[in-house]
Amino acid sequence: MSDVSLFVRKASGLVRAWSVFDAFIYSTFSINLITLGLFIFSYCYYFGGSLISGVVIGAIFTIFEVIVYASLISAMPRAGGDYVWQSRILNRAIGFILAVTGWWFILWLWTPLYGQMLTYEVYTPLLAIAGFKDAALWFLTNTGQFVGMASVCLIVFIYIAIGMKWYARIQKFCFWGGLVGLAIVFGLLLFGNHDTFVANYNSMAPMFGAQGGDVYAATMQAGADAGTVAGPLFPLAIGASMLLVPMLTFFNLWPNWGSTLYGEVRGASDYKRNFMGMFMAIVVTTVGAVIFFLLIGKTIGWDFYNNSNGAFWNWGFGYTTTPPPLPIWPYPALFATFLVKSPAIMFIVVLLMSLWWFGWSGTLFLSSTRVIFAAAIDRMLPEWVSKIEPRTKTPLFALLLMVIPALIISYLYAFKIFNFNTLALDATVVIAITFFGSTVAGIIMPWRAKDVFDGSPIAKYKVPIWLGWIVTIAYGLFSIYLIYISFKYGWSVLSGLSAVAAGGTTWFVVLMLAILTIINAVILIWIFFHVVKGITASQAMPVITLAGLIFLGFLDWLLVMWFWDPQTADGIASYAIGWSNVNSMIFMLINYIVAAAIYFGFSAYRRRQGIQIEKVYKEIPVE
Amino acid sequence: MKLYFATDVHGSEVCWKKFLAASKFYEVDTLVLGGDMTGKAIIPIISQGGDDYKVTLLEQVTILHGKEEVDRMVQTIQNRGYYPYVTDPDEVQALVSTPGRQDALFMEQVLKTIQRWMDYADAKLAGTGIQCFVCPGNDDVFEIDPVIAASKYVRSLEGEVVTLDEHHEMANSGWSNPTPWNTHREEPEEALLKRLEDIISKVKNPSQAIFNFHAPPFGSGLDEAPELTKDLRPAYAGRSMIPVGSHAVMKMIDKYQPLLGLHGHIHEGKGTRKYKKTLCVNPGSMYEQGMLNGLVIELKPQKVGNYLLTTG
Repeated sequence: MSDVSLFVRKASGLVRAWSVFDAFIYSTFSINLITLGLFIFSYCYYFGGSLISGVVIGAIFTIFEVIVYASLISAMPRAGGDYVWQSRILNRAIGFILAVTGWWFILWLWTPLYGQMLTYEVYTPLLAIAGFKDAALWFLTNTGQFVGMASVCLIVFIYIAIGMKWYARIQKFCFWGGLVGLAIVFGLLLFGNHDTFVANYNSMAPMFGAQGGDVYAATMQAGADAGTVAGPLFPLAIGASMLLVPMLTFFNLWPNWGSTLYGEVRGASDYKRNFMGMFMAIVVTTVGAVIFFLLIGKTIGWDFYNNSNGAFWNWGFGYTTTPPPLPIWPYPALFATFLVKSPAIMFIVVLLMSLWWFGWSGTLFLSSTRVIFAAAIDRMLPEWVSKIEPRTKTPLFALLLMVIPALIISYLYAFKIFNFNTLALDATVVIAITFFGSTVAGIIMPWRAKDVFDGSPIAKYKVPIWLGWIVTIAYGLFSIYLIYISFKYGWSVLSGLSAVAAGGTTWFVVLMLAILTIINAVILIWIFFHVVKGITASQAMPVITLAGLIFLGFLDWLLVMWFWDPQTADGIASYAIGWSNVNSMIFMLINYIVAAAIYFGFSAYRRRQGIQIEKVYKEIPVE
Repeated sequence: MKLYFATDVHGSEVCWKKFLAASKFYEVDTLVLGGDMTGKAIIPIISQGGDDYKVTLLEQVTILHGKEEVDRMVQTIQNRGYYPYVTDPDEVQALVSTPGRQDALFMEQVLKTIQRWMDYADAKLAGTGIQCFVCPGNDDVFEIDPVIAASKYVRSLEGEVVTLDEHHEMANSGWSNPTPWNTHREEPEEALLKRLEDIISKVKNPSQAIFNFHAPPFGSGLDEAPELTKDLRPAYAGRSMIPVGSHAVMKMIDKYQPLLGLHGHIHEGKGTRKYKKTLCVNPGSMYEQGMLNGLVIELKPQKVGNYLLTTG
């Protein structure tokens, strides 16, 4: 009896708790070990350090992201995510520009990435196993890659046309099917042995376009020629592994993708459910990644795996004209099937593993169409973009706003125009900047949106004030460190530009980064003082603020690393998307300029129409 | 004329106050509140002896010390749309064990709150010339109708047609198609269709009218809600969205093609949808956060003018 805390009456919308496991499935697809994970691991051949450390460190920081997002979802559910949180708590312009770039424009760049994964993990291996070697290898040509990317648009279009009801069901089927595939792959690697793998690799490689002979040794040599320096899995070499972390966020920064559910009249349990769904996805995926690494090391060979990646990408990026001995992408799941040598079993296993792609790909345009709709609802886009085509029930215009630019960017990517094929990590950077905005909103929410915070389920989640001070001071010290290294890297780049006779565009990019570095320093310091003022006044440190400070420090470090792009031990730009890749910087800048142009242009246009556009998120004052 | 429409405030005190303040803030001359004015839950604030009280809000237990803390909590609970009820353990026991006690308490709280809202509105609207209309929805008990009817400046419009200006009439109903919760003002589609037809029959010029119907048209996208399992759990962690709007409302929109359809009911369904010449709008609801989603719209002869969905 003493537990009675609530009486509810007969009213609509009172639903019971939803399944954490279902939320976990969605989150697990978003930080997809097989698609995103294996894809970006293959890029890491030129980094020292241990992939195990890199993945685990990234996951630990991502847990703080999960806390921030679970908190924001609980405090402001049904709000439309980053767009509304930032518009309401920070500023409408910031909210619009960061949401539009992070959830719409940059998804154009994700299309060729999804397309590459589709060709590498689905089309090419399945066609080759089925005996269509030429067709399989054609998909690795520029035209084949583009066709793969275009087919992504078609598949996603179908997903959107059938709607979330059916996509959710397909996703669940794909999860279980993919899990069976993954269990078989793990089993094959666990019970197989290295000698068998080498022998089978050499005998089966011609099926996938290799010339024959000792392909294994040739791959090792090609990898070494490509400058593969990947560190062993052990020792964990935490310090040396830190450079891997900004690379690996490509795969593990996304557990928060699309979590917006909330039930009425319950509160904390939904916060916990949101948190647990995302948290478990991070933990399970990270553990899965570590197991995969260990099994690859045991049976395929860690050096061989990295040399395969080095050989493949060195050719792919055009650093050599010699194709890799095995011309296909080194897909560990496919390699595992070499241990059985039965084309039928190989086909079934790769097909099951392809479900990881199919269960995940529908998310490509879903969030984007939502943002387009939200912008149209806010009168920041023309009304027609949110029209639904009555026959297919699809948001045709919103989809066209995704598909047409995505195809253009896919073409640039597939045919390596403007070195677009080097911009993969931009797809992560721009979304990380959007998350940066929401994290700032989360940190200051308890004071900036006090009423919303105080009336929310997360209001009671506070840590002892002494711990709050420790984290705040640690954040302050880390901010000083971030300001120091960003200025140091910046100065080093600036002072080196004259020596290399840099062009005007490079100078422009570097000066722009220098200005951003100063702005970043101001933001970091402003947040520090804002939090100090807040916790001094309230004598409390909300968990969302604590988690936000930690995650913001991490995000800011990522941004410094990505943009100033320090060199690896071998003198190579670590991420090749920062100042030294002018195309990357200009591409990202164009994204923000277009978003700002839409924002300011439409705001002015609506004002001219007599619409009080500035009031769209302004709180109505109660007298 | 310029109109402000909000809906589904579900007992949120601050949302009601914001609704009334919207006339000044958005510079409108007519206020329309769609259905579902009443709250869904009572939160007991239970005496622990002396000046201490225990309350559990959103599954968080708080011990309150003294009147000031209790008053603050009362306001927080009211702003979230629930009914705070200061009580003691014995009464809580009686509420749990005595059939009908909870219903009676709900009725008391609902009526008391609606009366307070009407008093507040009468004080705020007096002498302003602002038109203020409400239309109870499927979640609202019938007993609130006479309380609203007694207000000087707030007019309840269920089943009525009201003339807004020389060009525009508004047909109103808060009734909805069946829900899984068997609420107060819901009925099968056929009965709802007849009800709506009867109301529209009183409209002189339907093509220039506004249909203020609580339930959104089926399949409009303004009616997308999480699919529920048999035991009322959101399926697939709420990611499977299905249309739950009214076929009857859809038929009426399709048949008469009014200028504007004002809808609510589905809090997640914020958006606009154009059917031929009819603009249908569901501003959605975020009443629990004390945010008032709404629509500011200009009505011109023969057409809808500028409009903006707001989160106020």
